[in-house]
Amino acid sequence: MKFGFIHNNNSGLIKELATDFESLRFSINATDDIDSQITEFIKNSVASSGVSALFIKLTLSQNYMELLGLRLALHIRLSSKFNQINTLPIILLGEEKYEELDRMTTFSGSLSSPGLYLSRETNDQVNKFISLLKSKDLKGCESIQDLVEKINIEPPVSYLSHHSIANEWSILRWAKVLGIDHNTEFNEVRARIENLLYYKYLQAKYPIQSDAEQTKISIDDNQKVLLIDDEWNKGWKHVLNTMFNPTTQNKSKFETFEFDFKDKTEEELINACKNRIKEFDPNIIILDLRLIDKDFQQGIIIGDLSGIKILKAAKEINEGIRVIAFSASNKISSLLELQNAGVNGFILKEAPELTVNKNGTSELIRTFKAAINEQSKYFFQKNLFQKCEQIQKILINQEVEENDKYDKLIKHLQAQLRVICSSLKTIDVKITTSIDIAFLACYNFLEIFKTYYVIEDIDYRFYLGLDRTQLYRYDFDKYRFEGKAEYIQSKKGDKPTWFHICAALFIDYFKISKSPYNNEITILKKLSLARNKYIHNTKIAFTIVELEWVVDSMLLACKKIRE
Amino acid sequence: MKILLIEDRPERKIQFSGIAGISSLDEYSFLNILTPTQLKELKNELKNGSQNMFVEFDLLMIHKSAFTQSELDKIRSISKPIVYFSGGIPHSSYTDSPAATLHVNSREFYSTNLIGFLETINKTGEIELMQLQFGEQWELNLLLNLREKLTQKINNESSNRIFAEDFDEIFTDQIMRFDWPETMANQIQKLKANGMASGETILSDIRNVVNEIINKRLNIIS
Repeated sequence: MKFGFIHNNNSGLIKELATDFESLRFSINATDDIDSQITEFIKNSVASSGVSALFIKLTLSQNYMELLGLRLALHIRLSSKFNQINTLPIILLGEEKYEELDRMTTFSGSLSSPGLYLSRETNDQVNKFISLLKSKDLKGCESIQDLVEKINIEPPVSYLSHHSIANEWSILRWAKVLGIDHNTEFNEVRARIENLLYYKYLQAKYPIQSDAEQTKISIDDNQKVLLIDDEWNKGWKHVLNTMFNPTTQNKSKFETFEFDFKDKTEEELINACKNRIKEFDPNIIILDLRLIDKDFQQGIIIGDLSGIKILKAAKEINEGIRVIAFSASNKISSLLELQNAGVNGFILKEAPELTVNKNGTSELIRTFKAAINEQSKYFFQKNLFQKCEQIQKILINQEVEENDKYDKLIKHLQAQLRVICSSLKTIDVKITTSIDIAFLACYNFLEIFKTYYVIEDIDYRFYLGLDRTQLYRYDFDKYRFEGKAEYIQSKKGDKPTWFHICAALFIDYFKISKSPYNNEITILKKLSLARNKYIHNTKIAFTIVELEWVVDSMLLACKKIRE
Repeated sequence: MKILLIEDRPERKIQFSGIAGISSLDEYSFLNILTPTQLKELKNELKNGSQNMFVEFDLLMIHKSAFTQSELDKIRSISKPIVYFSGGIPHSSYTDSPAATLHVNSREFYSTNLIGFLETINKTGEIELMQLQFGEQWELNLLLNLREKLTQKINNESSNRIFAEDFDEIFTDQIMRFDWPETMANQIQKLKANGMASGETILSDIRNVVNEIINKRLNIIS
């Protein structure tokens, strides 16, 4: 029976007890990553040593308080990769008493876990342990889970100072759930993160399962999603590509803003983002909010984050672009503040300290998927804003003489358009009245034409505009055209309706439709019927399709608008 | 005593210093903080194979992101004490082989530890890297290191004697500078002068005193 003795040439025992011990020297190099060095040592020297117990010096470096021996012991216990040794009895050797260690390190809780022992480094003491081991009276760790429950390993300091750690942490967890963590794209992140003792601890506490099938996202062909994240090349691009394109046949329009964020000014970043957004024309942007150095300054307010400025730039390009904040920073905690800033959704990538159960990562990915699906329901909004912008441009470019009737019409339409844009902005697909409000605002936009174009003459006839074009009554039986006739008032109060006027304007004045059989006229009829049913309480709510139709009709009318 | 601080991201310095309540580092005349232009010049010199710019300094304190890996390798080869700090370093670690090298996270570097470290230099002219790593606990670390060495010596029965070279190895300059109780200081001096013959218990006696001081520092009443 051989026992491993991990030391750094800092014990006389190895000579004294050479027959029982296999000497395993941990020699520390100048390093900025002690956990990786420990992991390498375990992998190369301990895992295959075939020993049946481990004696480890509490200290393995020149600074005692680093207590690298205790750290190494915890690495052995928590590394699932080394399952041939992670339950062995471990005897820690040092002069310290439990009480002292308890005040020196946050790892001291592990000392009361099964299979971990503390011994003074004397021949007598060590020989006692050897006897117990030989008689099999000294047990190893029967349950890693028991140990995990007893200890609390704090996040590394770098987690507080460097958002990359949290980001890389999330990337690896997401990749694991998607079953792609062994792809070469993650090598760099894996090497940096997987060796951290803290990561091993959380992995042991909250092991995760691949859940690739449940996490695929299918979005319609016409939807476009853009990722803006300074950590895109660490793995997010690959993770999200996998989610959006689960098969090679399914090529959804997901793209990444592949930009070198390092040392860029905010102005450079925002300009580059604007260009990319205009070029790709996404309807959803997944946006990390902290993208450049200044975003990590102490006390920075949400409104000053570069991500929020990009959000505003995106909304200026098109108010209907939906923005999902995607952040690893738990500092961005106030959803209300984000909503006020214009964010449509928020997803925390995954903060190690917020990991509370085994399914946390899968749940987050499902939340992400749900957020994408939810925001994709607003695809119509971007198109509507695009059309409203077109209308605005047409109205601005109209040649008018100040204060004449045409000038008043244009100003009236512009005012109504502002109301429409405002109502479009507040649409919530779950609240049907928000769609109703937008629809009625658009319907009223067309109603304004009635006020300015229709002339009622003393001959009981009606005319349209400056040309005094004869107003015809286009009769429909529901959606079927039944004939047309001059509109002559048959009785007092017989006045042309919204539909009569719109149809006549479209066919006879603006010359949009060549005949009443054309689709535009059928749509006007449908809109008119829908509105009347709504007013008479026989229709509960307007649909998004009806909203799209009424905006299309507005645009058609404005394209041909004339005095 | 001259120390060179190389920080390529002054805004980070301000950010972390703000957290730690450090008002200004300019008051320490022995601390040379490289300006961005000087950093550019230094990188050029490194590129041309020169290391002369480091000669006058006793310690280099370097933000890792200021240099590429090959530049860092060149700096390392000059074998001067170096402190590397970076936001990405998860845990501090120290080694003195081949030269004293401390890796520490930026947050720990720009902390009250740094002020304590600079103040010690101001007062004593001594560089105590442990102070940067452990802050106020650095002397406890020193005592634990001493206890460890004493224990090794005591346990090693075959060489239970103290010669001058053993003495210097255990009672380093740092240990000798420690503010020992008078009786302990006398014992150490006696040991230095006379060594220890086989059978004497002076090392164990010193260890007992060290134990007492450690317990006191840890607020343990024995």
